[in-house]
Amino acid sequence: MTNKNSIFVSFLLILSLCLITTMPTTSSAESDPTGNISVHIVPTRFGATGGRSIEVADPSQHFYVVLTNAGKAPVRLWREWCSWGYFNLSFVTKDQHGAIVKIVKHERAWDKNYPDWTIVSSGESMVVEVTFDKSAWNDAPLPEAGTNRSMELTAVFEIPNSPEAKTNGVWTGRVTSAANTYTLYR
Amino acid sequence: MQFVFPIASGVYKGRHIRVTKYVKTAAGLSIKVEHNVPNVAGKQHQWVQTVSSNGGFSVICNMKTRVDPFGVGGAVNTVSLPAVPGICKADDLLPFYWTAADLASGAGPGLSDSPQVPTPAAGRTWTQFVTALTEVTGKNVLTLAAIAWGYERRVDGSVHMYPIRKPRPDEMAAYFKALRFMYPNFIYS
Repeated sequence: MTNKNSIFVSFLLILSLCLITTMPTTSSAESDPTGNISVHIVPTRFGATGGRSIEVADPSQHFYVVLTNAGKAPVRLWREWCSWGYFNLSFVTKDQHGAIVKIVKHERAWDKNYPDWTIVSSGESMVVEVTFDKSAWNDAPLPEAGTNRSMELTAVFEIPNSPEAKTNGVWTGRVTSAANTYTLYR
Repeated sequence: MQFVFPIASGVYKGRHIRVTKYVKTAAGLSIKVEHNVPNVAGKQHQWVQTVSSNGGFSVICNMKTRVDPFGVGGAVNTVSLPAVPGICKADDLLPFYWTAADLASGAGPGLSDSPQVPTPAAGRTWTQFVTALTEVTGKNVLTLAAIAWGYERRVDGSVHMYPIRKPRPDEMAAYFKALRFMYPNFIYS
């Protein structure tokens, strides 16, 4: 190889390396770990006179919490079944006397467990089904059967930093819903 | 501790499964296993895992040894098995660790697991796994190589890992018994 050719090949190699290092990786192109997530509680019904209602007569009756990607880039969120995602959603209640209670899930066992995420594209949502089943939640704010109970309810969605979140490009942060008053019926 | 477990006989003799990660976590442990068995047309290589315990889903499901996953709650416990009615459910109707959806989403070809249990109120909760690489031809599931591993959680919250080893004959018998009981439409050898 002549000296001129060798300089040209070197130039091409350097150019290729520059292009490779400036190209977005697959991971960053598919997710934004600092994206804009919003969280909303969807009541079972919202009446003109009764306000926001949540009916949880038995564990099969549920309501939804919707996590929406309000940013421009897709985000990755942990799926709820795995240990990385199971505790991401919690609630805070405030009763008419101002007493505040944090509602989190019980510790539980996993036999199969791996860091499992899902992509939420811009403008799309991930929906979490919530039953307030006492077998899953500590201090579930369920009224006695056949009664109802009004409270201010806030959903808290938080994914803490972890090596797995970093490795998988999963969104981390903490967001809360609006603190609205809900009446729980059971 | 042994981390490479050769396939003892058959066309893949000399190939192996290899544990590439085996570490303690706050509430359990984390394991990764790989294999170097080549792909063959018409056959699949699938991981199968059974789990035995004195707590958790073994108690809830009243099954000391189960094909993993099988329990209550969450997206991995949503499919009722015709052979095992009750509250406990699997993740699909196949005896393999990864579902087709898991594999399509990027799981595999190795196996990774991070089991954990809460701190017991008293005594200890032990959990013992048998993890096997199998070759699947139609409904025939041939176990190529297997390892036993596990851990226990004690009342003080501490985690104690068990060594990785070759499963004992009684553990392999329990492995085959659980497979034949829970997924009887396959033939296991």
